[in-house]
Amino acid sequence: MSSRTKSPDSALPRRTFLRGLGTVITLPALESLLPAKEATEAAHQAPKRMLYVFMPNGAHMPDWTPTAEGTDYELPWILEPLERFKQDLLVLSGLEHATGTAGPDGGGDHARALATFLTGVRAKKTFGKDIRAGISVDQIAARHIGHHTRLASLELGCEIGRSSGNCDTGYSCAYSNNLSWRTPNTPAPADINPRSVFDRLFFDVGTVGDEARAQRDLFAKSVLDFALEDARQLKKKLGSTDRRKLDEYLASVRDIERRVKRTESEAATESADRRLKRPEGIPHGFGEHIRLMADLLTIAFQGDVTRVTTLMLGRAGSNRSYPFIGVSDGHHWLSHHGGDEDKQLKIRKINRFLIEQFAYLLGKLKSIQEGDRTLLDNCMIVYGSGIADGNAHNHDNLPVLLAGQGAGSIETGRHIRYTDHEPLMNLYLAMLHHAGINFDAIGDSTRPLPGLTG
Amino acid sequence: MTLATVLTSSRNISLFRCPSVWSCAIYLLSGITSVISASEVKQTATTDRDLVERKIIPLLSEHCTHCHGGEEPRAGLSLEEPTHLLPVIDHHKTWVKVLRQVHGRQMPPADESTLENSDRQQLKNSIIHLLSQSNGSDFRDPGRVTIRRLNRTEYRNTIRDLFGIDFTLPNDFPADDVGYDFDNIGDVLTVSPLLMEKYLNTAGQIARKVILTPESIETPSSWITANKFNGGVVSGSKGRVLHAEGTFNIEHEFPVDGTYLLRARAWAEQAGDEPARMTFRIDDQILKSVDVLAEPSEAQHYWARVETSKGKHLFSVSYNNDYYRPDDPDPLNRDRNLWVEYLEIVGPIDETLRNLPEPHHRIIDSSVRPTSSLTATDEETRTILTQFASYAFRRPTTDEEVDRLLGLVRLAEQAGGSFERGIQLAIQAALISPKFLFRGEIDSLPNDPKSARPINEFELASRLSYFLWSSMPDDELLNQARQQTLRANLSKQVLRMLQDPKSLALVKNFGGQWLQLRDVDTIMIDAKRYPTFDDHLRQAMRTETEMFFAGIIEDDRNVLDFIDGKHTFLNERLAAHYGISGIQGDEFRAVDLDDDRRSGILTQASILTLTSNPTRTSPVKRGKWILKQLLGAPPPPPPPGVDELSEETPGEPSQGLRERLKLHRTNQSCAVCHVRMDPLGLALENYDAIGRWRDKDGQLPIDVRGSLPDGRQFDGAAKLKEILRADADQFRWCLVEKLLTFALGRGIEYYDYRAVNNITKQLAENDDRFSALILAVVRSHPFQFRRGDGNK
Repeated sequence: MSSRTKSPDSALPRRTFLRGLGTVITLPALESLLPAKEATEAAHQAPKRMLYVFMPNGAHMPDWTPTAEGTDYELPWILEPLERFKQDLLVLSGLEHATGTAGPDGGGDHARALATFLTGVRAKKTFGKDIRAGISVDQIAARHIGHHTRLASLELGCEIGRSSGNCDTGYSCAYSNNLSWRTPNTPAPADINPRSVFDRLFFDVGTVGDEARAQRDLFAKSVLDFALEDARQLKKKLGSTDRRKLDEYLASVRDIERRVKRTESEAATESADRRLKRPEGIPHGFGEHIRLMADLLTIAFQGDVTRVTTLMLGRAGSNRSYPFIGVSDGHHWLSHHGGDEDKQLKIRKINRFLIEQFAYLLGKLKSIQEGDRTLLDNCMIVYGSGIADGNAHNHDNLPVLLAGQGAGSIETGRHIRYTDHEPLMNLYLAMLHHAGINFDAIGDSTRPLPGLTG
Repeated sequence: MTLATVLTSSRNISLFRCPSVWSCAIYLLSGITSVISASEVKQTATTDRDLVERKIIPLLSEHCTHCHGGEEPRAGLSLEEPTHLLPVIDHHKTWVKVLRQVHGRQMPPADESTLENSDRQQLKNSIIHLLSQSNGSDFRDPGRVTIRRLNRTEYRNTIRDLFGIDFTLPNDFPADDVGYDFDNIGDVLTVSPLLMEKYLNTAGQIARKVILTPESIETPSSWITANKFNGGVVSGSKGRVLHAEGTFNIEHEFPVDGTYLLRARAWAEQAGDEPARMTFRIDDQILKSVDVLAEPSEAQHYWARVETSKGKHLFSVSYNNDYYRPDDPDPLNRDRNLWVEYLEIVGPIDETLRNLPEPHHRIIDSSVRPTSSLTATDEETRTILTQFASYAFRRPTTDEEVDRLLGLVRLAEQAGGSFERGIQLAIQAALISPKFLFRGEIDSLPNDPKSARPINEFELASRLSYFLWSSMPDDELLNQARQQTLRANLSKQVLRMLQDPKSLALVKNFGGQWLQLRDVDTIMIDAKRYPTFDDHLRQAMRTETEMFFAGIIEDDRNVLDFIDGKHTFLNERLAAHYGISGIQGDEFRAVDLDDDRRSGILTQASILTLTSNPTRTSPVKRGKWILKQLLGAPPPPPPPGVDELSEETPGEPSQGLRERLKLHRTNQSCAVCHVRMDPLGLALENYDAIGRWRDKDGQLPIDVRGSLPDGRQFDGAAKLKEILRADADQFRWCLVEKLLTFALGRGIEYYDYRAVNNITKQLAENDDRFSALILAVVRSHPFQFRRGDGNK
């Protein structure tokens, strides 16, 4: 094998099992795929799903926060697209992330806001050495309920991580690129390509060719076993920091191995949907990208491929521009509006655009019946940001919504205002409790958030 | 092909205009005989306390302590009794801060005290010495790089060079996180299940691409459906079944002498403790026996290869191990039966076998294996796997590793796959092994921080190749390592590597991140305000700077050309953008610059654009870019609540930009940084947000005068560059810090400043040649040595 580079040859053969996929995106009625008895059971014991949606750069709060509290309130301008779902929603005001504030760490509010958003832990300020945040709430949930499903959790994103230059004052880009953290040292990067998400939902891992499942699984397991053995050998010879890296590797290989084992005993999801087209890749339109992710996420919940998902609409401090709604300046740049009315109007427009996409997702989830309830009813969905006003970079009074009733345990249709620096982590703690995961505290939580059950 | 021509389609321009590349290099070799002794303060036997008292305190008391002393020392830093700042290990952050301030000429302020150059140098050297020495002991800390996963680029290039194939990374690989401004930092590169899954799938696809298996050959073929062949009983559309031991067969007319594949699409009803076993025969000759693992409804191809003569032959598959226990309590475990849906004869395939993929030849057929047999002996297979895996792991393999790979080959064959399928499996396994995905450097005392050792020759080969090529070592490097001659031939090899087109990776990856050129691809420019800006221009901007960098490598130029080199590379589009006439066509060519408007990278459109806002220039961003990227003196973090990334310009647009920026400096906490950033950026106001020359900003006049905190005045870009050039040591030091970070894959630690300083000196002493810089880096202590883990 010399190092010569040969001329390009033809593209890799397409995976043959993709044959037969149609061209229309329609959500399958899962119930029709299940035997009658199972369908009834599914309705009674529909699993609770959790989704955390992160929007970058905060919101224009005057048009986000309703003036009245309780059930009788008007949705402000940004939230107007959610009118249809007002009864499925809680607007939660006054929550905060004290671990996102400058404290002893100075600048870098964006990186910190994302790193703390689901962890409630103050991220260690470092360019690279010894990155450390905390385990994020979705990953805590995945550890406890992930074994029920083929994918313990699914991390989705709509903006690729920045890979050059600095991301935010003094912070490694790991903090501003990642929403989910598997361990305090290991972020779980988001998949931003709908095609790749599709493949993970519908196909087995590690497959080559057209072999029968028994052989395929045998081969996949053997290859993974080989890798595990290599990792074990290597790890023995390494120093302590390097061992942590090998631990990440081992955990990832075991995660895949677990899935291979699962598919052995299941008919997998291959049959789940023949009508959903395999996406080509990342769509050009940003809205289309988000909506496609919403479609895939809905299917993942519907087919019970996973029960825990995160969706990062943009990375921390995203400077995306939105020319298709008349905003050609960068989002982050605009968010430092300095009181400039024109900039605030543009921020507002971006906020509303993102909420429109969120409404699309809620509509999808609501359109699916699970027994007496809808899929949306069986979800608990957080939508919010780790910063309130982009100019002030404040981490209190955060914009936060909770959608879905957690299978009937949450009383939606209200605007609740919290006081006394109520940590946002209290909401997540309460959600874990609603999902039957009984922790005393996570991150900087002080108590399960009161008031959700009415 | 030369480096710069790789960047474009340009074919006729030779970049080797400097005939003295090699003579320079030879001169260099004599210059760097002893890296370590080059610039030491001759005090190895003294303790830190001695050093501080004799060399540091006198200078500090003369120049620093009247501010940094007394009851309320400035910035909370007292240097009155610096022996309090010992041991160094507990106070290295403070020492590094002092060092950087002294080196960067930020302290002492010009209006407070004048530190003569020789004194400044001595103070610097003393602090560096203090930082690199363990209190008088001989131990020099080389630092320790965390085991590094290949990043996306390195993975792609390694696959390319390992197999000699053109390989594009699937675009859904997750992005690599960045630390210390680079994406090859061991501490930050993590592995997630998502990434692992991509590795697994990609490894499978690569294995398929490089090795052709007989079972994947489809044509020409004859199908023999269940109602056409003999044996067992036909059962509807499910095929034929043998309930007891027996044979399916068909007499077939083979059209020519040649190699054929005999296939059976089969499955079995399993029972008992072994799978159904099936044997392929042609006439009476046994070809192959396979385990039929496929379960009901999952029929699979099983096959054998045969060389046979033209004419009629009997093709048969037999069932050899019937199992029947009608009284077993488990109804699913009573009866084992073999089903065949159809038989198939593919071939002749001789032509296909003659046109195997190139890597297939290199991996399998160039070895001892005779191509006619169905499999290879253990010894032959070991030879194949040893060769492959020692490339993949970039070091000699162990027998144990090869045996486990051999086990995978045999397992695949046992399950009915071909020998080639087995090799595919071994390749897939090797490509997801941490031994391939990580660059491991194995110590005998991995947890002893005092156990520094020179890296071995294979580790050196990898450090060199991933530094200069972002890829695996080539044959030459591996051969040298095998013969233990690489270190002895280090400079020759490095110079060879720099002249190899693969060193373009250094431009793309080091240059792309140091200069932030990668951002050019994603930068957003307001189309309404700048209608001439399009992707063509965007691409041209990036190409210019990349070729400029590539030219510095290839012609072994002076690195100060980055500041003011009076040449560049242009095509018609970019030349027109610059207002330079006489250049036609889309091809880039070398151009000498003869006016003050353009020289070096600072006034290239790429840099000017990536430091602008979508709708206008940003003197703040430009100033910060100069401080950070060229001078290594990034402004300190903004006060709490103020966001560094913010690009807020106060005031009314009707005021000039300069007037508005003045407001930055009315706030004391902002002024500290902006007094440094803003003037640098304002000097570039003659270039608009996409790098075009302009004499006015709209209707407003442009004023490019400014001064530095130390009082030096300048007037526009050309004068600014003169100042940068006068402070060349700042630029060298900055470039060295960045390059060393990239070369090592870790951040610069306090004990590394001695190496940074040495490399900087060697660079200056060797006419600032680019090769001198690279040679000094690869000869430096942290590049050549490593130590065990743990805090020193």
